[in-house]
Amino acid sequence: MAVLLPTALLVLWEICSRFAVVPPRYFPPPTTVGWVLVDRVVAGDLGAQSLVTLARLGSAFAIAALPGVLLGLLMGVARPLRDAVEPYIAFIFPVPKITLLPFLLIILGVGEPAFVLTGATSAFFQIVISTLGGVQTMDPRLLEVGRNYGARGARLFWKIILPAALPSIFTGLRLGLGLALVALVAVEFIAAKSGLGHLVYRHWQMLSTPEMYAAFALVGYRLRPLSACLETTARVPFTRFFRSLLDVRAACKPPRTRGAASARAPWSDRRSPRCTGSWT
Amino acid sequence: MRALGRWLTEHWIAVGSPLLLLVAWEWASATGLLREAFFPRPSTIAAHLRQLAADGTLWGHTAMTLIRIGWAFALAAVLGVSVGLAMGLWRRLRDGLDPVFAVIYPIPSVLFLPFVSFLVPPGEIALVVTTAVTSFFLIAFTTTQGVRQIDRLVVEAAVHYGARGWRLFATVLLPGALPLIFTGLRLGLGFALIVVVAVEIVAASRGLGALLWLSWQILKIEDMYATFFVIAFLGALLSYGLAAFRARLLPWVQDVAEP
Amino acid sequence: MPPPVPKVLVNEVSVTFESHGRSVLALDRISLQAHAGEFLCIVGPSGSGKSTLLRVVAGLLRQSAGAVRIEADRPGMPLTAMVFQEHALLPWRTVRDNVTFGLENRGVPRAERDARAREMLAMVGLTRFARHYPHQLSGGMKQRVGIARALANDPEVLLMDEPLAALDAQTRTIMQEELLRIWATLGKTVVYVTHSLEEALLLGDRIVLLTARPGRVSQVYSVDLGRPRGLEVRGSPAYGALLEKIWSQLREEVVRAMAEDRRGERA
Repeated sequence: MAVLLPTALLVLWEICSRFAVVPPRYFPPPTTVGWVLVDRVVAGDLGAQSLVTLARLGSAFAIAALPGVLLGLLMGVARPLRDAVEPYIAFIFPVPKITLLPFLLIILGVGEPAFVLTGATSAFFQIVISTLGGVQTMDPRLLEVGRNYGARGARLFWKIILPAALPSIFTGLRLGLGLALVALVAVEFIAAKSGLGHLVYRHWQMLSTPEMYAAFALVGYRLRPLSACLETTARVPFTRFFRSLLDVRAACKPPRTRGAASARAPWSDRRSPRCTGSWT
Repeated sequence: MRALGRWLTEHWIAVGSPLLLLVAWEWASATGLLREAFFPRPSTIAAHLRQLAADGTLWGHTAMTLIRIGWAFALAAVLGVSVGLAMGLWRRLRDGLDPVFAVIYPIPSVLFLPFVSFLVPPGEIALVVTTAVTSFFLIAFTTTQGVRQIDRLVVEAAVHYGARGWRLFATVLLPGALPLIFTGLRLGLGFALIVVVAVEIVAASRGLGALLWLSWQILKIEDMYATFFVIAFLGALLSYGLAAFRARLLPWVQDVAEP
Repeated sequence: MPPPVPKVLVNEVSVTFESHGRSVLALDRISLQAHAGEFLCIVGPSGSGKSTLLRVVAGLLRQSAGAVRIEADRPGMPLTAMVFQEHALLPWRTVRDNVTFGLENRGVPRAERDARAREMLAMVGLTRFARHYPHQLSGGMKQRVGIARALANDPEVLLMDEPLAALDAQTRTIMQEELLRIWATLGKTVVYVTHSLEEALLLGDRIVLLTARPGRVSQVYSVDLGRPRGLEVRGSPAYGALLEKIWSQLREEVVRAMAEDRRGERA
């Protein structure tokens, strides 16, 4: 069924177009679009425009990712900072980031920096929110375990807080990437003279519809390989953190009552509850 | 009154921080630290905003945008919930439509404008339909999720106690999916605003997006800022406003985290 | 005089599950009966198919072989009503609307529904919470709503699938007392599935012991501990003796079930 329906739709489109049930000017048959797509990719210009869009995406993401994660983490651990910054985040988040474009165009002039920065802001807010969420919704027992085993300050941060927030951070990065792409393509459509978004616009104005659909299709297929790439590259260097997270989780098993063990622990003069089973 | 006082003392940083920023901005702009051509003083912006409101332009454009959002959202909501429910209930439909939706959904709505303008008469209808597109997919997707995440045991119990066919749908499946449907509607509304502004920038002469772009083209930067704040206010209203209703409409839902 | 027709007759019921291309025999030719007004307990190790059996009796699951017959004395009334282990209440309905759910589906008019709801809620002691939502209740209270819902439906046979398993030990003991009281008042036929032999001895008139998977009837025991029964019966020597006797049999099955699991793990 997953294959059947889309293929059926395409075939239907093909037939309607060829037999002029729908005006072929506006709805060229998929085969023509496919042909043009291949032709243009081979000729290189579709590829070049794709690269332009991707380059912008890369820059936007690079600008947004690190500051976004950092801010999110800092806001998560430092309450005053969170109180101070949260109103801005809450205020800007529902605003269409495309509205920032005219301002950036004035301040930075019409050009790459304005485009990239618009995309970057789209990603930035999502990343901050997801990261903050990751820190805030982590299992509080993990913090208890950390403190109980002597982790303080920086060590608590690196060994416990960061790994626990990592899944949300990656979700945020993935979502941010998607949002940046959407914003960038929209920006290209509106204001740029290059890139896939612009291509769609140009061909629309010229009514060269097969080229337009080809560019359109390329935009649609950009995202999935990208996010898959991000996920796989991310897992490799960070498995070490994931493993340390698993160690902490393992430490949360109910302690066996061996009086000697608790006597040995230097901080057990405090009656600190270990991982209690229920959390009420 | 005392409750307000208490809230203020608790949230003084959150309230104070933007206030401080505004004051700093005003000062920096007045003294030339920030280029006034790029960052006009908040007081000037406020004055322009008042002017725009007074001579009616603001209301005209805002009304236009709101009407478009209204229609687009209605369209997206009705279609989205129906399709979402259908996809949630019938597996084969879901299997068939999923790949189609997965391809179309990530494309920025604005790009659909050419396509839509081929399908429907150009002008208002094209703008409204384009605005509805991404919202539709969002709402359909969350609705489907809403149906699928209903606890199977609850459904089994309901069937055991005699709920079949239409009754099962009305008393179990629909209420069970409601929390997620509501979330989808909320997100869809927010998205509608985002898209309508972009679409207005490209292809409209009236509406907040059009006003923003127009102000840019004639370099009236104070008007740009004023419009921006109106859009931001609208965005906050639409995104957070519905959330307030949630408690009233869905009394049985305990919140975990909000998207 | 011929013996009375049993209220519930399970005749050579077998259930086979298909999973990942393999078939698993969950129940193997189970035959048992419950007499009218009897409290029948079904006990067995994990995986013996107790819940599966109950679901077959409830009509929620279709058996692969065999038949189930429930003697209906009152035409038009539901044959069974089940109390689920995880209460399975509709979270978007109030307590009262949950209790009347079965009645609603049968088209019972509002006035009568409300009356029955009041009656049942009073019986389980939740009158004050009629307008509350399930999420506002504790586990024990939710389970009581589940029981009220089943009772409100006025079935021929009451089915209970480990209804107290998810509760903490203290609440569980209170609830066992409640169940004894309610059952003594209403006198319904009950088929009760549980892990706990102690619970079965406390509540039941007869105990059916199932083997490890595939579940078969191992033994049927009669519980002669007198009625009406209260918690104090747990201290009586008769109770202790029965517990020993049945446990030694059950233990074998439990050990067999665990060995089965371990074998599955290694595979």
